[in-house]
Amino acid sequence: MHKLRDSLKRPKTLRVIVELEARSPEDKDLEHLGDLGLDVEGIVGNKVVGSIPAAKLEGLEADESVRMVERSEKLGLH
Amino acid sequence: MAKKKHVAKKPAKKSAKRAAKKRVSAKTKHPRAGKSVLEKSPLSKLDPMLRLGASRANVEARFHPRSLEVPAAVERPEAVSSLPLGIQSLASHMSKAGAERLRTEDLVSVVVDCRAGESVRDLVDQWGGCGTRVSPSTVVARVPRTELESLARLSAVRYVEASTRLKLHSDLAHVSSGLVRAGVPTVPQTGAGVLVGIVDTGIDVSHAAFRSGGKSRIVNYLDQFTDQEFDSAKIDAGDAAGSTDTVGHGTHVAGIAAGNGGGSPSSSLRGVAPEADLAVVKSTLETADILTAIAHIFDVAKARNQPAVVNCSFGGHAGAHDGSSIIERTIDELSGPGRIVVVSAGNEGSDSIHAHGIVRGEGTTPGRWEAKFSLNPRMFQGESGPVELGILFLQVWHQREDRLNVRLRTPGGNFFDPPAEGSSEHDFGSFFVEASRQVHPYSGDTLVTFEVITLPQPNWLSNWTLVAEEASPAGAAVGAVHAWISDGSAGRFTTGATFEYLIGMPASAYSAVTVASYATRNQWKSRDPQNPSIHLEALELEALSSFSSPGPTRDGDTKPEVAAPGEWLLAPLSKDALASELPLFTRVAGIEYASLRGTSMSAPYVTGSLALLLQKDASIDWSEAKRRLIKSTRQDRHSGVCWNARWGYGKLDVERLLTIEPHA
Repeated sequence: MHKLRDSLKRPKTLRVIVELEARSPEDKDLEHLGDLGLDVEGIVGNKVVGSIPAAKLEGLEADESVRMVERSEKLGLH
Repeated sequence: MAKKKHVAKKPAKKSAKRAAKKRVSAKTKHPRAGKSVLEKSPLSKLDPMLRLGASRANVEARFHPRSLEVPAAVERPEAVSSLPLGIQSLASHMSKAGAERLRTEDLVSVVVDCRAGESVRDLVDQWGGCGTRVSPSTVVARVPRTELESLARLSAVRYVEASTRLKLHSDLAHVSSGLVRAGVPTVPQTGAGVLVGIVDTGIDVSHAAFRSGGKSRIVNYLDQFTDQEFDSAKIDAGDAAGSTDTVGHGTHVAGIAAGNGGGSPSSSLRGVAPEADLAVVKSTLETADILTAIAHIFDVAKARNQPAVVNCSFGGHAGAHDGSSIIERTIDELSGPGRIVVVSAGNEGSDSIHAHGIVRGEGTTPGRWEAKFSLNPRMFQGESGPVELGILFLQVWHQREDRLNVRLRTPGGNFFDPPAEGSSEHDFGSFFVEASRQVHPYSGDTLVTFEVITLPQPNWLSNWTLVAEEASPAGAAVGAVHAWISDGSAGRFTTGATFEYLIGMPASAYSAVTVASYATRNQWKSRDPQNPSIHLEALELEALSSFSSPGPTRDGDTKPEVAAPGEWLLAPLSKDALASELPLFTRVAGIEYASLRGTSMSAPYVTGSLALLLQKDASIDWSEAKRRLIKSTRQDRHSGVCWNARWGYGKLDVERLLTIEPHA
């Protein structure tokens, strides 16, 4: 079963929304996120949208500049 | 009200009325139901309305070549060129003599139920009329009045029905919502000067409902799949033609909120705010992109110095269900004076995807609660090809202060406990379970998740049990446990399901206006040859839609706030909508409109209504908008006492909404 589970195609890169501790992220904050493996796509307030290799997700979550990380969920039409 | 047949209204002679009534009452069976007493006479095959010959106006309706819906009260025109567009089009396909007859003769629009439709249509043509075979057994035709009896006498004809005008001058929803009374708008506002934002599957930029004066009303169109952005000039130049709406959802939603009725008879199928400007984002519907889409629309509004209301007709059941997800808090942050977000409540009103219990014991006995669930086998893509499995993701929430053990009991009776913190996994051979436990950073509540992956054998797909127990006697102060299955297609609770707390994300955003749905239409003429006349007799008008997701939120917020028309609304049909997305029966005969239902449809109704409100006062914020919405709602026998979990504070009343005074 473990093998079967691992054979399921799982994304190697995850799209995430990252909420930062900083209210208005500066360039150095974004550079730091880049160092953590996040490919920044956009910024809305102190939220950063981007993608990151799945293997680096834990490191991003643990970083003290990061308040919260959510996976980008695909929502359904109503 | 909505069940009435609507015909051009001129008073019939009393005697004719009485005679018609008598004939109708004598008709004991539907003509298609088999032999009835009336079938003995050919005349009995004529709709009684067609025999009100003395009152021509009762049946006179100008033929619309592609529709059974005809403009009201069109008087006999002077010349073909002055005929309504649809009739001109018909005339252009006829001989000169035929066109002349169309102009001068006394032709009656009928729907003929018959065998051998082709031959019936040919005969009608020979008589100087014109007809179209819309299904093997149905011909719509315009027949000289003098030939009506001849038509009825044909052995191939089972019944001839008058083509009656449907109530299209403003959708039925507008009557229910108080936006229109006796065919006349009750409010002067049209949404002019307000930006209506639509985050959805795109929009058919070419649809007449989104054009005015030869120009697009869409001032900004962002395609998140291609990162292309178009202003109205680029749209008019055809640059946005590649950003199609193949689902048809976004076009319909946009039309409900702000379509101007273009492409419908006499522009009758107007949206709620027909003169609003539109900003549309064709979105991937991923939360990351939705977040940027909403921000983008408010940026467009700011640049144009316009108030804006953004519609979100989508959702999901991941998250805390208390408005604390990032996307929901971002909606709160982006909202403000002149910036409002409306979200559909969801369509999970009948789905067993939520279970809820109180885990609190008495005395020295620890409290215990459990809910059983099952998985649905589905196909997944594996490294070496498709594989059938059951995969279900379960989220369980409880207050951090409550000392509870949340566990999973497998079909074989084994228990699986999540770790105190972090995640763990176990391979049981025929199934695999991964569990995690964390304290949610915003709500401060404890979240336990289980992912179950199982082989598709029935004994492993069912009889799973979620168990919550007090860790010790009196270990729970509140003891409330909520569990959601994120995806209803993955499985369902078989015990413990409660049909409440089904407002998903982002509908549980604190600032968002969350909208439930009720029914306002149960019939329309469709393009489906097998079902040209859709009539959902079992659907009770004005009643809550069974699918409408009930509240409240997990933290007790009284959502939904309001219910609006959302079950079978007629609104623009994207020309690019795939048949797999919008089947024929949803497509309205003769016009580029579709009939759809969902809280996806009720949300834009409120979005349009708030555009009207913002036209009146551009500085209104979500809080004041909600206050006025709540204060203006109406209750009836369907809604019962409000607030309640399904109706919110009651039914939207647009007329009253626009008369509520500002908060002192």
